[in-house]
Amino acid sequence: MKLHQILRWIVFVIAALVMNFPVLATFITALKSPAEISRNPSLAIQSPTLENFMTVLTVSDRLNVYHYLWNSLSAALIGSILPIIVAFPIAWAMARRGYGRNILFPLIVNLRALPLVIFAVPLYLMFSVVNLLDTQIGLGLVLAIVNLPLALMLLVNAVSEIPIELEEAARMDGARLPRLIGRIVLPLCRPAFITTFVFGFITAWNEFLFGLILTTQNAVPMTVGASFFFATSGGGVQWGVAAAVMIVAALPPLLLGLIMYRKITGSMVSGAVKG
Amino acid sequence: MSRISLENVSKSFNGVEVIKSVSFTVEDGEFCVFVGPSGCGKSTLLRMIAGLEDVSSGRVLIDDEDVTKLEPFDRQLSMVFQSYALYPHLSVRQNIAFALETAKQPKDVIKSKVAEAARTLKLEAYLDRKPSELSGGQRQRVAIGRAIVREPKAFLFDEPLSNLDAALRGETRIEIAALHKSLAATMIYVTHDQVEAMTLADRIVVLNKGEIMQVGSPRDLYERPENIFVAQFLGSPKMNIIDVVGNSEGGISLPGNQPLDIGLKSTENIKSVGIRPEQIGIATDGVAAIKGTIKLCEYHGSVLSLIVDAGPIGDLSVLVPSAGDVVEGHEIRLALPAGALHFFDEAGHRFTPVQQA
Amino acid sequence: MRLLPKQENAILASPMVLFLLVLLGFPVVLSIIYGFSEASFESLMSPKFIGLENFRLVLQDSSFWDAGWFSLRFGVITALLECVLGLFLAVYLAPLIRKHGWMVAVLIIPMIVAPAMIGLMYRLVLHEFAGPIPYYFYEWFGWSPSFLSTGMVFQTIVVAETLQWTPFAFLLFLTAYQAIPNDIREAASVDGTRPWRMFWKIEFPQMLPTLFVAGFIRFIDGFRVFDNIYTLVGAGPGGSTTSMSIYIYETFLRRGEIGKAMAAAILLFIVAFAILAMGQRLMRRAQ
Repeated sequence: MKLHQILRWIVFVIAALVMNFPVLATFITALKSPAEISRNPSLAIQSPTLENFMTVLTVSDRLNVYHYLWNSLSAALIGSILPIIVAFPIAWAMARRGYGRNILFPLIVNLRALPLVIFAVPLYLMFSVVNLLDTQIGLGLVLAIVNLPLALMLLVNAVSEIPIELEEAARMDGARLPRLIGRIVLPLCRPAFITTFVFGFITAWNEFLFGLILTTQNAVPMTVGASFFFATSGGGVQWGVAAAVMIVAALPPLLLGLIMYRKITGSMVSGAVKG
Repeated sequence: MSRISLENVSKSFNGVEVIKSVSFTVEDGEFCVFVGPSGCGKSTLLRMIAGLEDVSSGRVLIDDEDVTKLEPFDRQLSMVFQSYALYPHLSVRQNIAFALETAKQPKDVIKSKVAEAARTLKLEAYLDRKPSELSGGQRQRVAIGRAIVREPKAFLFDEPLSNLDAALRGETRIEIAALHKSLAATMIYVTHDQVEAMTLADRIVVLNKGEIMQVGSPRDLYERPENIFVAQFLGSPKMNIIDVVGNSEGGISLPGNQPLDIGLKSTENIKSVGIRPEQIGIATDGVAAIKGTIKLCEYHGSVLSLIVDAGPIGDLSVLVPSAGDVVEGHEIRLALPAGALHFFDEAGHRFTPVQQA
Repeated sequence: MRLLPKQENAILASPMVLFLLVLLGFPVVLSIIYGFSEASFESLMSPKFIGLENFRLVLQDSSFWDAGWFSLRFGVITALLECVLGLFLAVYLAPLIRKHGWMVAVLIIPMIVAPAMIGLMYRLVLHEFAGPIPYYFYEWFGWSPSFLSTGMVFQTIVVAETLQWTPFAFLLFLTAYQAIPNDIREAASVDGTRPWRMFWKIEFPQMLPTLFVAGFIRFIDGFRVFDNIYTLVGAGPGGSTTSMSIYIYETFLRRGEIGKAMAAAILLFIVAFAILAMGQRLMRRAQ
């Protein structure tokens, strides 16, 4: 029994180290000075320094990390809030009246499984017509499509889980639909809104393909910006700075995700199982 | 306050008829209880009156106005749900005020009505709490408070006591009865508990499989049940029903060919007789008696509840005063007094046989 | 004014329907137009109708088939590996996790990091001078494989993908495992069931539906892979890591063959939809 317990801890530590290895190694590299990186690629860091992070956080011609962060933030906010707004009303109709349950719901849920590149090309053409290429709004709108299926599923679930008697009680109390939804259903869905938002925000922040295709300069998000940084550094990549850029890019979703991990894991599972 | 009528009301779910052409009227100020086994359609019927379920055919009238097609919010009825259905995100005060705010009543009116309801229901100390911070009994009172503030045309209760523990249930039952007296309001109350039905109701509607079995006062139903279903549904332990046959002497015989004195000469159509456990007597010597063995003897405090194996007649429930000396496994002689017998025909309907010449 | 439930439903549905019509309906129309036309970035506004020519070009393009084969292999292999590893971790670590919930958070970190970032991180980690992995290989074995060479790159990206997404399978399995009522286990152990038998006879059958779901989702995700491969090696040495998504991207942005890219996207859509419908039917039957 004791031995098994120890074995389990060992398995956990190995799994955690191996699966998180790229993040871990990148973090350690980001803390090394350029001199140390070329001398000592191992994980045993000799003299940690914040030098690389200072470089990243200082605006320069080569890299303005705030520009990327702002683009990611604004696009991710649009991309995570808009789906909630458009999906919530119909989620109620789907959960309570079975409206669109046969065609619309499966159709949208299946969107989630399609390769995004299918949409990328026509969206590029459409955005070039309506001048949304390389704008944060345009990117945000597309990220909203990406997040819509899961948002719809989570919100339909959330509405279904509200005891029907509460809505019946409200109707007996004289409430018509707007008041019923506004005063009873909406407040009771708040936890689901938060989960949907967090999940959507992380997905949107981490999205890469659309950022790559639909933005070129003004609205380039952090993920794409970080890859640019590699590309433009050519042969002489400054590994320390590059590592720091990646850590900065990964940090916002990581923090959000770790704070809310219980909610995210729950919605990830329910999203997967009910789809 | 108002009278509520149902006219040939029916309801089908996916082709299955759950309510079969029900008609009756709840009079103004009456406390009417729907009772029946689970699945009998009593809650569905209540929800149809509330407007929460569609009516497949027939009409629902409130004060002679046809409300069949109206939404619940236009019927001006209040409902207390089994689960209480308190809005969990609103305080007790907001819960009680919800309907008044919906009706856009002036702020000061709302305030005074909520205060009054809180006083009546002893909820003043809890007005700013959330429902989750209340006990079961307090939640129940908030649900009632929410119903009374809006002065509805009638109150609907859907098994409101079934989530309370036994002690609280008795207490709350008395409170509801008092509430009915003080408001003189029309109330319709659904329950599967016959004690609630008997103690609260002015009139009871017994339902089975979507049909009305009998409508009447508790005493009517208990003493003059119209059919075997009602006879056995009310009363605990339930009424004994014994199949009988007519015999050559113009009387009737119990199974095992034992003649039964029914106080008159008439065998027409008597298919079975019923007798309540408390009306079966322990026979004194000389009286024609049924012999049996005591299979089970339950001590209930004031009474003993017996199951007697009466041979060919089968098992009989008998209630006897607990003073007597009754021992399991012993023989016992039972008497069925003629005056306590109920007579049922082929279809299970009760009737009064007429003396034959 | 009194609204019928039907009208209410229509109003409630309208925001999403409008949103979808604009952002998906319009592109669908464009897809069809450009899928049957010849167009480049110079002649974007004046597509020339050429019928099924684009589809013919795509279907005759051997790299299209290579990309499809790559995606298929990649999807199947990574899904299998992730499910096996995830199942093992979930079942083996479940007793520990019951007491230490935070372990879940540690194990799901890879999922919260952008795949594109993971790809970039592997560039660093695998770099022959700056990367710790080649360093340790040299330290311990005196040599190091060149992870991104033609011969090794497929294995490398399979490992990278698997390590990032095993947590997803793990999470599904953990939830399914925890959902098995404990009294079943207790009843079985009172009956004298040993752990190994308990797993195969009691727990595994109950997790089987989850296994299908996890496998299917991971296959779909592996099949449509783009971000991490693209940021790690691009199309790979000699185009050896061109997934379906990368193929369409390259055809479109690199080579500017808009019509051909669109035709490939339509074909991919049809295939993906067919796989999806098939998978869902299978899953429904399994459940």
